[in-house]
Amino acid sequence: MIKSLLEQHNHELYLDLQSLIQLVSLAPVSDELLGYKTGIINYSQALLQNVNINLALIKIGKSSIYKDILSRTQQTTQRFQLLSSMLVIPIVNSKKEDRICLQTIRWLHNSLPETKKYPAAFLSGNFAVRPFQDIAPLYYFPSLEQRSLLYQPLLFHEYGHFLYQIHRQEMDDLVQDLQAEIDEILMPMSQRNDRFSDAMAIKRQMIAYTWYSWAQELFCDAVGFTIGGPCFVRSFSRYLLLRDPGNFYRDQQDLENSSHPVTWLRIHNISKRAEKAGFKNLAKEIEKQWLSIAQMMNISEDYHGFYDEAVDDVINRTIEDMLIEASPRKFSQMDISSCDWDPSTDSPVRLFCLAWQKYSYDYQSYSTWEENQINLLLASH
Amino acid sequence: MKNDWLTASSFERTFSLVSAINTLSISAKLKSTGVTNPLSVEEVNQSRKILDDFFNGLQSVIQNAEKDKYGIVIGTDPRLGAFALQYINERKRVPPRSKLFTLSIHQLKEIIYSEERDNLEEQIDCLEALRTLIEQHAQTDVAGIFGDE
Repeated sequence: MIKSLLEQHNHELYLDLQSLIQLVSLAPVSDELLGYKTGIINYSQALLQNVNINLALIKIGKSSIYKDILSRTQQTTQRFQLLSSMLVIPIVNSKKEDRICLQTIRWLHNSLPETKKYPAAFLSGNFAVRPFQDIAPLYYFPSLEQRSLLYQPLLFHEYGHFLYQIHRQEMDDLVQDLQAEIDEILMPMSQRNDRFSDAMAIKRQMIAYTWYSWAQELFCDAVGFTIGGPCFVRSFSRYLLLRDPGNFYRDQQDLENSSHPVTWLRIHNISKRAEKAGFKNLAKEIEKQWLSIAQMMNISEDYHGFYDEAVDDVINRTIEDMLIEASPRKFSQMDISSCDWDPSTDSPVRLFCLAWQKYSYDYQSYSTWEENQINLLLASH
Repeated sequence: MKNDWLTASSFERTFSLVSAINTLSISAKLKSTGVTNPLSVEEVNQSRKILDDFFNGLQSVIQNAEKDKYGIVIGTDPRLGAFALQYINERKRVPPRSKLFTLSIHQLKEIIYSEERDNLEEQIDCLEALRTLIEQHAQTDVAGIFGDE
C-alpha cells in the first residue's frame, strides 16, 4: 500500500510540476523579472528530476527505504507548495506597475557581485524579506507604497537581511562577540548568590539573547542609510512616525525575545549616522519630530535595560564591522545633489533623494511630478 | 519571535539537512542489501559535507548551551539554539531513544563517514533519529512559512 501511495503521489507531483513549469514559461514578464523567471523554471526542473529519482527508488522495491522516499516526497511536495503558493505569484500575476519596485530590487542586487547571481522579486505584504538562497529571495512591499518613489528606500533595509544571509557565518560570529560583550558589560561588579541574583542573570542573558535579532535590524538600518543616505532617513521616519505608540515604548515582556528594537531607538541610531555623514539638520529635524510625538503621548524613553548607553560603543563597533563585511554600495555626492535627474545615467538613489526634496518643498504638486518621473524611469530601461 | 528572515533561513537549513540525511540513509540501506544506488557518489559526498558542517556548528552551540543553567542559548541564531536545547534534552532521556543520543558529535561524524558494513546499521539508526528530531523542530518554520493548515 505504501509503495502504491508513494508512486501515485510522485506521479501527481510530476504532472503538477510540469503544469507549473508551463504556467511560468508562458507568463509574459517585464525585463526586470526575466532572471527571476529563469531561476524559478530551473528550480522547478530540478524538482522534476527529484521526482524522477523518487520514482526510480520506488521501483527498486526495497521496503526498508520507503521511509526515506516518503521524506524525500514530503520535501519535494513542500518545495512545490512554496513555488505554487508564493514564489511563482510575482510571475503569473505580473503587472506593469511592478516595474518600479522590480527596478529598485534589480539595481540593489546588481550593486554587488555576490548578490547579482540572485535575481529577486516581490509580493504585496508588509515590509519583509524571505532571503531564500537556494531558490530566490522574495521581498514584501505594501500595495500602495509599491507605486511611490518615496518609500522605495525601505527596500534597502530588507536588502540588508539578504546581505546578512550571504555573509551568515562572519555576521553570526560578530553578533556572537557582541552578545558576549553585552552580557559582560551588564554583569554587576559584585554578584550575590541568591534568587535575586539568579533573576538578574536570567534578565541579562535574555537581553544578550534578544540582541541577536536587534543587531541584525540595526545593521539593516545602517545598510539602508549607507545605500540611500538622506532618502532612507526620510522614508524610514515618515513611514513609522505616526503609526503606532509601540514605536516609542514597549513593555519589558514585549521586549524579551522580540524581533525588532523599539523604533525610537532605531531612529536615534539612524540620526547619529546621518549627523556623522554631515546631515546635521536632517538628523535634528527627525529627532525633533519623534520627540514631539513622544511628548504628546506622555512617553519618556525606557528600554527596561535592553539598551543602555554603556553598550553603545560595542554595538556601534559591531555594526561598523558588519558593514565592512557586507560592503553595501555607498551613496555618492551625485546621488544627493539637487540638480535634475537623468534616468539613463543616474542611480535610483538620486531619484529617491530628489523625490523627497520635491515632496518636502511642495507636497501638493508632488504627485504630478512623481508620475512624470516614474514614466521617465520606466521608459529608460 | 516573528522574523521572516529567520524563519526562511531556518526553513532552508532544514531542507538541506533532511535532504542530506535521506541521501545517506538510502545509500546505507541499499549498500547493506547489495543493491545498486541510483544516487550519485557526488551527491553522497556532498550530503556528508552538509552534515559535517552542521555537526561542527552544532557542537559549539551545544557547548554554549551546556554552560548555561537558565536554558537561554546565546551566541547563535535562536532557531539553532532551540534545536541544541532539544538535542541536549534527548541526551538526558533514560533510556535513550536512539544510539544517536549516546554518542559524542565526534563519534557521530565518524559513523557518518564510515564505509564499513559493520557500521551501517548504527549509521541508519542515527540518521533516522536525527531526521525525526529535525523534522519535529522544523514545524515552527513550516507554519511560519505556510501558516497553520
